[in-house]
Amino acid sequence: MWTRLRWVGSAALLVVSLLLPVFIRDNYALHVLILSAMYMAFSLSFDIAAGHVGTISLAHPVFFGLGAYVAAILGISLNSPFWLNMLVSTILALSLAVFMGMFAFRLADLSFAVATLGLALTAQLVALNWVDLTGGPMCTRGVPRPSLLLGQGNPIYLSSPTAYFYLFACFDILVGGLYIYTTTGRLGRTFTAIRNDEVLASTMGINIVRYKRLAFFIGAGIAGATGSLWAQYITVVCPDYLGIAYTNTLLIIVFVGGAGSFFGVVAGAFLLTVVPEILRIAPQIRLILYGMLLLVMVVALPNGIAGAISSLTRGKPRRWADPSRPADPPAPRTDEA
Amino acid sequence: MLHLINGVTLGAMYALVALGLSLVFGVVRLVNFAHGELFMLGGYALIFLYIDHHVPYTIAVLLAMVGVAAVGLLFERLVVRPVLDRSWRVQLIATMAASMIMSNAAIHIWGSIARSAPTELSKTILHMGAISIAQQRLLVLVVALASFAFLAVFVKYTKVGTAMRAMSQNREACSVYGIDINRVSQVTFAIGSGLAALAGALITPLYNVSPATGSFLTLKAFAAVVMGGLGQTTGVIYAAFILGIVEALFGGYVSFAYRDAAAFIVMILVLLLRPQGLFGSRVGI
Repeated sequence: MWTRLRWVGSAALLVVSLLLPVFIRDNYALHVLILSAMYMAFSLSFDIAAGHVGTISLAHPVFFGLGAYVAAILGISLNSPFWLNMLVSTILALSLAVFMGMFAFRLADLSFAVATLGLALTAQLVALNWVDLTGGPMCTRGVPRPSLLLGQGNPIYLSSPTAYFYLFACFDILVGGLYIYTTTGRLGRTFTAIRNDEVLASTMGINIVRYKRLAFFIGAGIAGATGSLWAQYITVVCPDYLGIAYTNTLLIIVFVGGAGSFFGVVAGAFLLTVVPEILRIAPQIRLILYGMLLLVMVVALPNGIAGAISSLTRGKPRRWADPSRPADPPAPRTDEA
Repeated sequence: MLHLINGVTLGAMYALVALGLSLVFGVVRLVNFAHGELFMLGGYALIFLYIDHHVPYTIAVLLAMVGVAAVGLLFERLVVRPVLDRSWRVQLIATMAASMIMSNAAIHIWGSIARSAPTELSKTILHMGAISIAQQRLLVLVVALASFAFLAVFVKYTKVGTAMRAMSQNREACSVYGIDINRVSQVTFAIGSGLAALAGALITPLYNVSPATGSFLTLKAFAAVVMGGLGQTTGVIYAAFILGIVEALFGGYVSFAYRDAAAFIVMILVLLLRPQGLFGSRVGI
């Protein structure tokens, strides 16, 4: 019953959110919605590996930043169409992920996190210092906005916020579909098995490293595409796109919303971008509050908002982060959450 | 030669920070992603006391250490203890959250622009033949070596030190023998934060401190700990000095802009090729 209610509810939510620009005429409000749409795709791409397989890569924004820079540089120098930029961004982000994946998965858990943090800071240094290519701390500016060439006529520039909103909405639907496809069914169950117990999973004949890599690659590709799309909306790309601030934001969205839960991550991205805008909290104060929220959540509710709600409705706790905690017997997980 | 001396100073700073990190990992079994922020707090505490309120340097350093050690105790109580028995992921995210709170609080209080605290010693240059060194650098080195000696004696001969070593071997057995685990980890955190603050207060007269210093320094300290071998105190100190010297030479002769990257690349290579560390024989994290 809950499952059906959930799907009906989410379909309704999707329709409502697609109709939002009809009611919202304020450009700033639309900007906030686009920002939250970007974070939805970005956080979902992070959650495939972090929430489902349990590998936390602190270098995830590197793929986003790479995608953004590729789109910026291609767009400025070649004036290439936005879908081509997105394609190149995705391919380059994937190639970087394949290169990193060749060796990074020799490292277990924490060493992996530490090494990826090193990579993230190194990448940020490169972006800061390779001034000829990236503009360094002055950022790359004037990224052309996406245009659609319909038939033989002049290109139609997507310059109105409403147009961007629908562009991001289409992208989010694609990403959401990919996320659900990879995290449910056989593949999703394999991921869950690895997350819950690597040793047990490998005795069941699962090639752990292979699936960890797969999740990492998919996430990196999506992050690259997201970065590319975002660069062409915001028109400025800065070195901090690759840095620790974005990693922190991802951790907050995913772990406050609910790691490993589609609805949790989507709700997290929405709430954590829209609510502070409504309350008009200053950025630094916001990050201090976010840090506190993250700390409290991860200590008290390691499965985030989604986990809390689902344990209320089903009466059994879902475990993400704590297979080592002996509190309760391992509950069989269902995949659609 | 100049770069070598700078490298030794940097190495002493990294050693002080990495030692705290390694101590906390060894005793409490927690990888603290917020350790560099304690260094940053030490630097700002010095600026607050010495520059803004004209407290004499020695007293300012001591007060900075005490103040940050108190923050360390608070950190232990609020962040570490709730996640002590939890998985590494929860610990990672909890300490990352703490680092986020501290660095953004620093931005809020002191602004994001880097600050410095020149002292008499950092302005006094000692000439030895062709070499000239700011006396502050000698001070950093001497104080760092003294702290290592003090720590070695403390860990070896005091009751708490013995308890710390016991806890690094087996926490459960310690509680069976009636050792108050929480107290030992409090002492460990106080020492670790105190050392980080000491490094911050000693180095700020020579280099700048900014709210962003923390995450870079945490990673440098990780690099030293990883290179030295986890829980290998002497190895970590050697590794920190090697790291400082390599970084200074790289910055001097190859590329100043990428000197930080050199340390990270070395760390990643060591993680991949010798996960037990350069000097260690035990298996890594």
